[in-house]
Amino acid sequence: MRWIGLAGFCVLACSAEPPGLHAEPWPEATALFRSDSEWIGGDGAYSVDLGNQRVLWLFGDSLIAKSSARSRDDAFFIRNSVAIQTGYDPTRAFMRFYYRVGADGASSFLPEDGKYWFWPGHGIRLGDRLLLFYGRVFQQSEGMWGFASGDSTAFAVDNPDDEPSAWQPRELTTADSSKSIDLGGAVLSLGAYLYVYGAAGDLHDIYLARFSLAAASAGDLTSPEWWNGSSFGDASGRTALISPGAPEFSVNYAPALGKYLFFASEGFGASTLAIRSADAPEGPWSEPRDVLRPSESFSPDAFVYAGKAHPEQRGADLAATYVPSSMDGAPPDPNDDLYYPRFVRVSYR
Amino acid sequence: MRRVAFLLGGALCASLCVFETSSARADWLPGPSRAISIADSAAPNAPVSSYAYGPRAQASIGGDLALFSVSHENLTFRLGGSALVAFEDASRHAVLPGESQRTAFALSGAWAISDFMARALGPGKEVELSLALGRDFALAGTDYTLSDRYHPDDVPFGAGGDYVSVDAALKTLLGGRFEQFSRLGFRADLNAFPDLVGAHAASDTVADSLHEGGEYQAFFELGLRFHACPQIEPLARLYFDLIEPHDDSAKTLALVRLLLGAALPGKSFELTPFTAFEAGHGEGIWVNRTELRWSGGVRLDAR
Repeated sequence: MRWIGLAGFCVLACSAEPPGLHAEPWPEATALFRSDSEWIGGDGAYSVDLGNQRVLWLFGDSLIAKSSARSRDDAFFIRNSVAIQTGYDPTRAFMRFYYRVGADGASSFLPEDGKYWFWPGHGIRLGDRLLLFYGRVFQQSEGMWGFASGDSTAFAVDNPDDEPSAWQPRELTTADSSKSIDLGGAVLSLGAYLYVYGAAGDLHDIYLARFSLAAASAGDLTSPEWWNGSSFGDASGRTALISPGAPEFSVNYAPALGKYLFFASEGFGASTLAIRSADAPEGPWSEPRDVLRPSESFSPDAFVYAGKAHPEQRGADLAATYVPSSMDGAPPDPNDDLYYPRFVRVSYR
Repeated sequence: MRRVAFLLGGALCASLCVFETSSARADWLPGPSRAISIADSAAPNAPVSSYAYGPRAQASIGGDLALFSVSHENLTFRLGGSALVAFEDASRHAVLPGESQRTAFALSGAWAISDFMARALGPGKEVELSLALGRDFALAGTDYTLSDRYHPDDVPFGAGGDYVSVDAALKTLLGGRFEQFSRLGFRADLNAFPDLVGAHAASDTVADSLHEGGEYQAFFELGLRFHACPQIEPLARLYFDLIEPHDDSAKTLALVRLLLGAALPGKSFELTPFTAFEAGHGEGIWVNRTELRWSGGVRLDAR
């Protein structure tokens, strides 16, 4: 369609499609991530609605200030942290961050397991139980990109209404077929099933597993069924829903559109935020549509990633976040302005 | 890219086969890269050396050159290239610009047919079809920080990129003293090719890794030159382009530019004092700045 529209000069002039979705920065909401005196940056930024005006945020690598100077040059670097947002409107909500604090200072909320650390995925509250997906990661070689994925895993929290400092995450047994995929990028509860998306491979192809909701609610994630292109079955026939996919993403149902939305940072480096849509959780998924190029992605050196939507948030048709960062100090960040998640608001029209 | 290389290589081979006769004549460094000049175009990326002021200083160094040409009867093939380095100010009002730099390179093959359709349209008509591979990119000056406010629908990277373009130009002699030409062209950046088969995710990856802000560009130009006398030749050029960005969220850009000048032909060079009126997108890192501009200056190109 686009090629036809652009084939000629005059046709080009008439070919502009009205955008179906667009997004804009939401700095009033972004301030939520800068409200803490010690938590001075982090990535990941998955959110889980805990109900009763509480939202759990899950962060990956995080920086915790050692002093009131809030300098990243004098900060603890931890592998994960969480926060509880109180209130669904991010422009008016309150956020409290949680991580461990010991004699040696701050450490990861979910502690390291030998050489492995945990980076978060998505999660969901099922009744009185909270399921959280994490990936085991280890340092395979030197440098910023020297990490490698181990198994993906899941934890259950049996008292999600308490403060996270009172939680005792309990690692669940998962199927062997789940471990080779970074399972848990997005989690949806639909009908009698829990749908769990994951990414695998160099292209971060997206796969979909589903679990009996009753079993998942009981903390049993040992019997996934995998989407094989036409139905759900065993792992041997599983096929990718989206290829190339994204290492981090979200999937949610948008009632106003009657569609499932797959939200992710599209591309690598100076990336955009893009949305795919589908009529069913297993697809078929449309090609991505860019809804916003974050301001940071106008720099050729940009490293902008971790785009995902947060449908529980109020104040926008759909709230989303991304994380701007830098690679090897480029672009320079003298004011420690990068590496805080940024809110954007998506409008349907 | 392989497809593009195949296309250009195939076209080149076909041309050489056509010219593989005893009457074909080959020349090395025969002059400009096109029979119908691109150097006196009003296009912002015209490969020409120039200086202009208004509302701020603009300067460029550029030129185009054919490496060789092969002629047979009324058909001539030229293989050549063009280059341009342009400097422009956006905020300060210094005499010499330095806040931004644009660089453009192209390698082109051009097929010119003289006395095109002489029987149907009359003599004196020349048509040229061209295929070019090029790259253009934009940078801010060393000490300059872009001050323009960010807009969510902005086009990144100065709408530059690596591209393939095709254009067709027609030159007509009118009454012996007037020369009229027109050029219609279309450019596709490399990120456009995955999109042609519906692979938008792959297109995003290409655009991000090559820092391509545009995806398609269409341009059209009309020109008139009056051979008033050997010393002076008044000319007018009207240029129009549309840039379709890669990002779905970015806006389409348009530019119209009218250039009026008086060419002073010399033996090897031509000096053209001119004035230009333009409305629409800026160039380089100011591609998102929409302005009305009026400038005056002088340009120099080889004959």
